[in-house]
Amino acid sequence: MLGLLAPLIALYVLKVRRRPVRVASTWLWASAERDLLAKSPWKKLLARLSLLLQIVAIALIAFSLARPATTTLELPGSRVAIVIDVSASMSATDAEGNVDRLARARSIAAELLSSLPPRTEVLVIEAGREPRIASPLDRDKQRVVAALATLSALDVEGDIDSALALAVDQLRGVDDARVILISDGQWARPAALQQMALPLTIRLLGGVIENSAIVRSDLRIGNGSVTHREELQAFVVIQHFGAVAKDAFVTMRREAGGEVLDSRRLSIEPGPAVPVLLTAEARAADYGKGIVFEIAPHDQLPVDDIAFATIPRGPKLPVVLSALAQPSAWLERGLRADSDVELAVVARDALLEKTVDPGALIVADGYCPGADASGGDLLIVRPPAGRCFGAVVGEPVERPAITSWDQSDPRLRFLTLDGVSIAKASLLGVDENAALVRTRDGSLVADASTGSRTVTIVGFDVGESDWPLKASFVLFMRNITELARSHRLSSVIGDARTGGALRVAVPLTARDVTATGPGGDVIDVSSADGIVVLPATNRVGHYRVRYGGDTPNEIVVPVNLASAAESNLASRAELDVGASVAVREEGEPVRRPRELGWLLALAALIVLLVEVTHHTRRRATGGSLGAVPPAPERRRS
Amino acid sequence: MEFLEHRAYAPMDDLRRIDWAAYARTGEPVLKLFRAEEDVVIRIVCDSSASMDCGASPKLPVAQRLAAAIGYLALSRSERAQLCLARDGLLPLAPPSRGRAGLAAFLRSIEAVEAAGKTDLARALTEIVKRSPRPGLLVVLSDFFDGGPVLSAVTRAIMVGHEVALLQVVSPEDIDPALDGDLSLQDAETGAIVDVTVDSAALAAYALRFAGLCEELRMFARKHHVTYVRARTDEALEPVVRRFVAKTID
Repeated sequence: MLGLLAPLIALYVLKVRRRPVRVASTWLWASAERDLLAKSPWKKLLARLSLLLQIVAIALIAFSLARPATTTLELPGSRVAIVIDVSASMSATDAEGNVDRLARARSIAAELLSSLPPRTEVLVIEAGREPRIASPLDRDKQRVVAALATLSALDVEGDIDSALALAVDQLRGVDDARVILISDGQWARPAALQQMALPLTIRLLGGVIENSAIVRSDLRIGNGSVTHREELQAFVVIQHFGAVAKDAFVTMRREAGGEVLDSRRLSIEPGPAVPVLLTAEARAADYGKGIVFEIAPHDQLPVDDIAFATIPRGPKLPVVLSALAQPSAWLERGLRADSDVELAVVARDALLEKTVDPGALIVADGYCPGADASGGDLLIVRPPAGRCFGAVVGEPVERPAITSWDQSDPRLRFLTLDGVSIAKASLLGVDENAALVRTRDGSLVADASTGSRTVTIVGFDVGESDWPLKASFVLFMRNITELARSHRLSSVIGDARTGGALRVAVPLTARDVTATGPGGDVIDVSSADGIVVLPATNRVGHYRVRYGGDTPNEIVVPVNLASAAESNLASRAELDVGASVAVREEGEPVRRPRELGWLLALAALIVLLVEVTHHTRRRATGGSLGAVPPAPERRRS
Repeated sequence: MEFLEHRAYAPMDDLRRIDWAAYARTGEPVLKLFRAEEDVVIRIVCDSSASMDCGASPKLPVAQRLAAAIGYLALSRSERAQLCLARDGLLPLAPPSRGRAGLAAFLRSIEAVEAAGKTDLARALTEIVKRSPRPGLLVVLSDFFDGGPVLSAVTRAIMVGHEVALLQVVSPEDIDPALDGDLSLQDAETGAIVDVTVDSAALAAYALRFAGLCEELRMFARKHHVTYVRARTDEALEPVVRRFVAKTID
């Protein structure tokens, strides 16, 4: 832009090549010129005023296009949302400080608050797995500072995108609003910074540090290859994020008492995850108890140096076969075909008095148990006419012909019912979706599951068919037991990772359900239809769900972070930011550029207006003459 | 010769001038006095320098019309009129025209005037005064854009008995120049260059100097009781002639 000065000056030089004009006489003009010079010595300079003004205007425009800016401590905007990353990585302690990253984030936020104008409203949002408004829009900075003090790092993966979306939503409709994100940049999920609807400033903190983490753990009961006895087999997957190998101990210990069950010393190389096998003797009394895996010594991010598990119940599935009188021999044979089944054959009345494993499969032959029947999954064979778990059992019919069956249902997986002949069966009145095996007149096998248990109804006596003689019967029974076994091994429905709600299956008869977190803090829960929901699990550890009723029990649920993204502190991905996003590293002063371009442009406009006014101002034509105008000078004779 | 009056005879009077008829009637010798009529020469000094024919509205045609009108007035009264062309001196003089018979020649001489050269009005007037055997009416037609001692020369003419009339011919451009910007003004007569940045101040200064010139002529006219008429080129001829005849001072 300043290059335009050269042509301007050139043009001006060309312009001041005066235009020749022929006049009658220059005598009066010469006298007038002398008058002007005598009156105003600056006239020659004023003759160049136009050029000077144009040079100044071009220079100002050039500087304004260069977007000059100063920095100011004051943040703009009448409303500011401060989004603070509280994910697990924010609990790391960097080498340069003795406090974790979140404490430094709080300090930065407090510093930001002090730089805000008094009338600015501030919103504080906690960016955890789910965003949360820590402080609503408030002008009272003291209240906001108090809200900041309550923030702490959570053992969760952060979701920055959702937090920013919440901030934008809260500030919707405010023209000069802006968002400030304070984070270490270790984001488990990418944030769509390019599409930010409001100006965003990211304050990055924390550096690169080496970290080891348990990124996955699995505990099961298996047969030892040497002892051929049941043993605890733990697979702990460890990953080291860094550049230098690290020596560490990996231990498995009981949660209660801290007894170390197994330990390994290993050198963890940077790079891919390494599985470590830890074993211990399995004891029946330990089923359902908590186990803790730990890397020692701890590093600067302790939360991922520890993982939690629960000792699963043994591989044998308790199955109770009960009948009004004598149970079907075919059913008993079908169940005993599975070596991992502990079968108990009892009468129905005896079953009512027997303590049944909550995860046991109950096979009811010839009757329909009540909805509050103990145990886990239910297989009801040959129920009497009437209602049974929502299904209407009809009167017996002769030789019903199977027309189709639901091959997608896990209970009918890998089997065919072609050629199965049934002498007599009771048709089941259920919804079309609940019918598993169909005839032209109704269902022979139906699903009557509730929210907490799987219920399967077979509407005929298998002994009055040739089904037991076919392989499909054995497969059907195996499918039933496998499904019950998988339900028994885990009471947890869905993912048991920090950050989300935790759903735990409990018996329908469970009463007085309570839950506590890893620190023993009571958690408000809601339960219905055999499902207990813990609304938030922000800390790793063992959560305990206790319930009373017919079979009071305690379910220990391990919840882990298990996030490589949060644990990887050795590198930070480049942020793909948009034009409206500014990124500032920690240590840079909390300043923002105040652009001066508009000021210079305004000055240029004023200069141009002055130049135009100077150039086009109305000419006075002798209005200021004196009383006696001076006669022009004459030559002497 | 025309009869003037009678006067009583006195010794040493010429006896031939006695009015014998009157002596017969009255018995008193009286002399009959006559006045010999003498022609008044009206010298019309016309500025024919280049400045008179410059610009959008040249002044020379107006000066020519004024000279013709004044000459016509003189010749119609059987007086003599002589056109004197002034540049940087006096151009060769044509003989004075006389009476109505000389009008045609006078007008032809006016029509033949062309503007060229420089102006030295003072020198021209001095030469006219020298060459005039008898004083008469000296009419000066010029824009008076002459830095020389014009008024001194006019004063000398008055001193020797000339009656003087100053007719200043000006154009609208002389009064309010339509100029703007950075200009090199070239003198139509001398070719001299004056660089001027014409802005409001410059125009005001020029207007002040122009007014000073007019005021100088007006003050001179009042002081010496001479006629001063300022004629604009865009002005009708008749009012100017009327003001000239009335010997006004504009």
